[in-house]
Amino acid sequence: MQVSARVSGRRRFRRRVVPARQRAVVVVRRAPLAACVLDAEGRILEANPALGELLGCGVEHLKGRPLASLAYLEDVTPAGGAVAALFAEGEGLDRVQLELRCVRLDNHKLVWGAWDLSLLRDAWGRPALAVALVRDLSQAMQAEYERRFFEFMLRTIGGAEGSEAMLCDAIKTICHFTRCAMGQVWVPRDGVLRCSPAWHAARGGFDQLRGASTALRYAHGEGPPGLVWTTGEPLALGDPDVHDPERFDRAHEAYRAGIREVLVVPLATPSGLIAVMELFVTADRAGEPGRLARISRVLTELGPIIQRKRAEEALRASEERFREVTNAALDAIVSADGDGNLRSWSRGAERMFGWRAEEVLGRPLTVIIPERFRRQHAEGLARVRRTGESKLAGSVVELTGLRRDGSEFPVELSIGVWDDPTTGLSFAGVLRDITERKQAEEALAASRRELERSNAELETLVYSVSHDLKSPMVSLLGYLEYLRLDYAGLLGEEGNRYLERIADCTLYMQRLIHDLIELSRVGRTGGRVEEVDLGALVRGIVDDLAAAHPAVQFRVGRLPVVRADPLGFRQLYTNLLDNAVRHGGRDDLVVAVAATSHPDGALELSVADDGQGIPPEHRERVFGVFERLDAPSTAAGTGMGLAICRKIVELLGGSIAIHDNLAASAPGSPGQGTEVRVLLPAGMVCAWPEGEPELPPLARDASAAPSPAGLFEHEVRA
Amino acid sequence: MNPQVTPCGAGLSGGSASLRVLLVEDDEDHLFLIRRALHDLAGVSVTSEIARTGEEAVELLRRARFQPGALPELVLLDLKMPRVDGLEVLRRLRAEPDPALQSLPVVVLTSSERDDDREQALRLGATWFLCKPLDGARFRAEVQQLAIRWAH
Repeated sequence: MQVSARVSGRRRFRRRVVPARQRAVVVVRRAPLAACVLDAEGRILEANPALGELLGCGVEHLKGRPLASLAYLEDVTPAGGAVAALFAEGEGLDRVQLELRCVRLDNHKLVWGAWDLSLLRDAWGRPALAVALVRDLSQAMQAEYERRFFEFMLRTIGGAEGSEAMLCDAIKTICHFTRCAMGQVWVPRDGVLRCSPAWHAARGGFDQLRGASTALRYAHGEGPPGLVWTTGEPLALGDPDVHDPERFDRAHEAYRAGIREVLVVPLATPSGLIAVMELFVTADRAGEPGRLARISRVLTELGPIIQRKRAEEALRASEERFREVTNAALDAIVSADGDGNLRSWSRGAERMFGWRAEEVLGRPLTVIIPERFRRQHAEGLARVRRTGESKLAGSVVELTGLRRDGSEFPVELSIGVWDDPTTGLSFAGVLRDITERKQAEEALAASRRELERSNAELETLVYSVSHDLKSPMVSLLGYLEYLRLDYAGLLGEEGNRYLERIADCTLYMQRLIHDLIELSRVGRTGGRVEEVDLGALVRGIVDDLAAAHPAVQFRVGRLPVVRADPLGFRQLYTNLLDNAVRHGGRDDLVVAVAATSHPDGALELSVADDGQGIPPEHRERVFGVFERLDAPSTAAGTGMGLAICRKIVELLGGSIAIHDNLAASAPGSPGQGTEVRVLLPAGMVCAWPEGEPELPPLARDASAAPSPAGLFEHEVRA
Repeated sequence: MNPQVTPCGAGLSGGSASLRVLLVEDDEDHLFLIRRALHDLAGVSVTSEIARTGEEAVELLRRARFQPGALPELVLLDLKMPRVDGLEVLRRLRAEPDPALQSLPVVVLTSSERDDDREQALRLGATWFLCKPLDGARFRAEVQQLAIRWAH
């Protein structure tokens, strides 16, 4: 309260005038402002209608009331004091001015007035009456008060550390300016409202109420905070609701704390509610008009500020997390601006390059680029600035990095480029030291070369050993021949049987040597690449085989012309067809040769028979060197045919596998059948013979098994 | 290094034709078997000389061209020999200035199934080739064909 007083320097000298009371009444009645006459006890003797209007009652109601009884609770004492000062014995004041809040009698609203009290003396110069002129300050004061409220609030929360501290300061300020005793905030989380740690109490005695609150959770529509959460409208609970457990779940604690009024106000932003504030007013401050509206107004302003603070915190938290992650990474994570100056530098970068963040931040990132690459880097940077696009962005490239000590090492860089609305063109890169990987790659390549060299050596050895074995073999066979020619008659039956066995074994050994040489030769010959008509090639082989195996029926489908080494394909088909005939288990086999091209350009060749088949568990084993499923016999193969085939196919980058011949294993077929499928990479086929439909492989399509006559290009029948 | 002249027995049919052959072969067993095959030829009487190394063969042929009737009418040349192998012998023979040596019929003997050995031999001027093994009717039939072609 501002109280100003002026001491009159001189006493008014006595004169015969109209009695003081009469004069005072005249003054009051004529006054343009609200005015009244007070006696020495401060009672209103006379008031004008303007004052009655100001205080919300008739003039008659004011008469006889002490001024203090009209004052707002807090201003009672200053009001009494002002009157006392005027009428004080001895050194009384002639005039007292004070700002005084009164409560309107009709609606209890505050009336803010500038009261100017002047003393009237009687004929003897003694204080007799006082005349009060009242200027209505309500509008101006209220505005000023609110302005200070907001200003203080903004200043306070502006300095707050985080959104919680900000809420705390806001509650405190609101409690102070609206004379609430306690305030707390309910925040929604996981679908319920719970108490935020932020709260304020003007004095002690609220622990129970606070404790009861923190234990509570409100769903939408539950309790006063939940209700406000749902409606978004402020809510006030007064006497007697606030003490009714039916209406207010914390009525007991509120009563104990002396609470008479609860105000529940939403803290919202245009995009939605962020919290509900709950304010408690004690009995002595209760019923203050306009309080709820004022708090609501403040919170409307506060919502967006808190929201912004929270967003800042979330951003800072995520930045912090990003920094933690980048620092924890072994990779170097760096970013740079459009001019190529470093803007961030992770722990990983510190370890990798030997520069600490504070040493390189702001410097050009050429600090980690070897001298000879810097021009290239500058050109690339200029191009990105010009076009906004980076050739490197989105891909992983291998570069050379430069350490602080001048040493270089291989790095793998993945880079991102974006146009930042605040900082412009920006780059971020993840760099990985790939020294170890490079070393491992080189070691691998070296051991692969070593393996290839030793393989080649082994093949050469096998080749020359096999050749050396051939020479005695030739002699052995020659002498055997002449032994038989010259001495068959002397050896007798038993002797001739032994001779036959020796001859069989020797021939078998010869085949073994032959196949060994073939196997070792597959990888050795460079192989001329030329156009090979597989159809003609297969027909040639089939003609030879058909002569030796008259009962076997060969079916040759449509085969392409490929670019390849003709020897390799001759050997492949010779071995596959030979195997089919040799291991079919019957004389009247049907052997089909076919080819298809896959959509991706790969070529699939197939040789299928309807013989006894190969059990699945043995299908991998048959590709091994010297592997045969039947017992070794001089009459059978050497077991190297499929090994040679696999080697040929793998050298071409393809694969070979054994399948059931589904067509042959159909009911009624004599055997299970075997289909060898060779898959060769795209790009080998030059042409397919024209004018004929591409046949599905026999093995894949059961309906093709009893093939219509003429479908097959080449049929050899005994 | 005297050339060893071994007269072979006359053919079974009474020696109506004769053939002088130089055998170039380092393997004694192969040598024996080839000579046996030549010996058994029907209707051709074969006289064979033997050289056991490539150098010896070239030397023998160079000298033989100055003695009338000493130059063989057919050379059977093994490809696989140590140091100077059959191909080298062919190369040197075809490089001789004497047209008699340049055009001398040379049949190479090879135990390799590889086409490229044979092709190379033919490119170097081999007249024909025979495949070892040396046993069986096939070999004998082929030798018979050769003998009939060059015998007189």
